[in-house]
Amino acid sequence: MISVTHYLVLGAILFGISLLGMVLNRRHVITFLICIELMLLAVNTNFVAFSSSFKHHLGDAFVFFILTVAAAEAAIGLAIVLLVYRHRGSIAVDDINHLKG
Amino acid sequence: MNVIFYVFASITVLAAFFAVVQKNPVRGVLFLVLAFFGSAGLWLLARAEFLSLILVLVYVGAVMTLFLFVVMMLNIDTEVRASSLKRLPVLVLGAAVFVGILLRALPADTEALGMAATVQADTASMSNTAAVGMVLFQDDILAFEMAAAILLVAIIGAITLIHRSPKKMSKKQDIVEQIMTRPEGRVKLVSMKASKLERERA
Repeated sequence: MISVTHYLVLGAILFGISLLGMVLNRRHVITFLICIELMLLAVNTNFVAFSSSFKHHLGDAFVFFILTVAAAEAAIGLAIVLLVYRHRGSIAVDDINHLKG
Repeated sequence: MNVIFYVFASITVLAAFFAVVQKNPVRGVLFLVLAFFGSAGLWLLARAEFLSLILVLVYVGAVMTLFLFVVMMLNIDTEVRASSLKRLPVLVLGAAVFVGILLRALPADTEALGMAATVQADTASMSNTAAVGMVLFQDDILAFEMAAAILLVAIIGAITLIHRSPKKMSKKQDIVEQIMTRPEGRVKLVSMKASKLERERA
């Protein structure tokens, strides 16, 4: 029988994988964005599992809003990536050091 | 039931792993799409039909397509990351430790919480879409409106960042300039001598 724990374990594994990807590809902005999407997917999976288990759809509404914000974030992030590429001719993170951060 | 869960879960986890370690960003995005499909199946299994279809239609159909477009527009050199794959075993170990910590933090009583489908079929009165709509439009209507505002801000922000104004090649009317024009701007009066005789007299 599938319980909430199964979904939580899956969410934890997905979160760990995306964290691994973030550390692994510190130089690539696109892969960074992919990892962020995966993290949000893991969080959404937890929300869906709890919402289904408690038979209350507030969790589903939360997932809806998270998807909305994630779409907005992806659009803005990709716009910034495109802008940086247009100005610098490269999106390697090592090259983006004008703010001396 | 169990078999379906494990099939979709393994698809999701494997696709996520390959999306993360992929050298080519285009392949990474495609594996991410596969991971989304896998978790859409899982959500369907958890009786979240509306969200699962939204994930496939809107997220995979629109956002991932946007990703693919941008990745294909950029000419990315893929050999940048050759060195970082050497550290993969250490990082996998670190991520495994992190996941272990997360699993330790799981509440103990969630094992007893069954999913809706496995407990009982309780969706007699309302479909999943209608139930989510009730929550969205009655309880969370303010948050819903704010989500719309966020999307509008995202549209305006993205277009403002990317839009390049076209070169001033076309001949177009400038109404304000036409209305505000004065004779001094159009006719220039130059005083000069009229004839040879007049010039000699001066």
